Amino acid sequence: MLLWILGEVVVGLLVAGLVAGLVVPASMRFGFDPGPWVGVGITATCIVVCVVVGERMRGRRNARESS
Amino acid sequence: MSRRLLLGVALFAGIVTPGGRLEASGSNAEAPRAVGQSVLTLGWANGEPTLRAEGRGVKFFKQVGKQRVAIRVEVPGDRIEVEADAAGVVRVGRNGRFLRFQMNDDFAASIALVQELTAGSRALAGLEGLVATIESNPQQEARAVMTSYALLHAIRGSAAPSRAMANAVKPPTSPIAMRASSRKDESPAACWAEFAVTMNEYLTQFNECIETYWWIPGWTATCAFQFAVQAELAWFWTLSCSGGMPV
Repeated sequence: MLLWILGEVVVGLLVAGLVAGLVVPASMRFGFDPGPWVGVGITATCIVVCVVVGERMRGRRNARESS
Repeated sequence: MSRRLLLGVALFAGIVTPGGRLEASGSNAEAPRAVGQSVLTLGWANGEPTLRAEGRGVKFFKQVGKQRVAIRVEVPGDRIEVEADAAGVVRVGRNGRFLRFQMNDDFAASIALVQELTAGSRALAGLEGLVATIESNPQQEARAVMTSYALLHAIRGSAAPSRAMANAVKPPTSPIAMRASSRKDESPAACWAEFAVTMNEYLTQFNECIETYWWIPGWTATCAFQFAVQAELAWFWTLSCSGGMPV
């Protein structure tokens, strides 16, 4: 359980890196100066999304295995 | 090329640096000051600060204005004069004979003429001795003389005094000061700013890569993979830079 969530958080950080890598320079080119809080938002969102998706995947797998 | 640059730097230093442009305060004006075996005197002439130095039989005079610097070195029977202005014109004279140079003149030929003019100059030889008595002195008057000494050698094609001058005015570097100066700003805002700039650069590289190799499908995938790896590395650097969070 703990390892699973840790894995989701790590994947969330990796996804946050990719998203930030695309969003930050793209927003700079559109004239918006992204502050550090954008980074926090991206990180938090990506981790939450990855944990939610990961838990749903885990739940589906458990349901499939138990049926 | 490097010598031309050196000449420009020396001229610039002579005209605008604090060491060259002495601000003589009212109480110290015209007050001789003994520095080693030399006597340095600050003063004013025509509204411009002047510096006189005497030692080892050499008389040194420097006058610095907003647009020009004039230097005179003399010993009995020999006199060297240099005038340089902000437009890049340099006049070099010895005992009444003058040469005039501009920045776009052939540098090697100009150096050769100056070397010929100043060959065997007892004034310049005497200035070596004068500088030797004050070179370890950190006072601005002493540094002003050293700046002129470097300038005089630069226009004769010798870079060594300029380098020595640069070393002399270099601030002391203690290990603690070096550590402090090499320490990067790791505040969250600074880390984030560096990340943003770095990613902008990586995105530019990625776009160039795509535009260059659009006709090779495998290569465009490689461009994307490279960008992804760069983004991840930059991202985790940002996390480690600001202590685990990007703010």
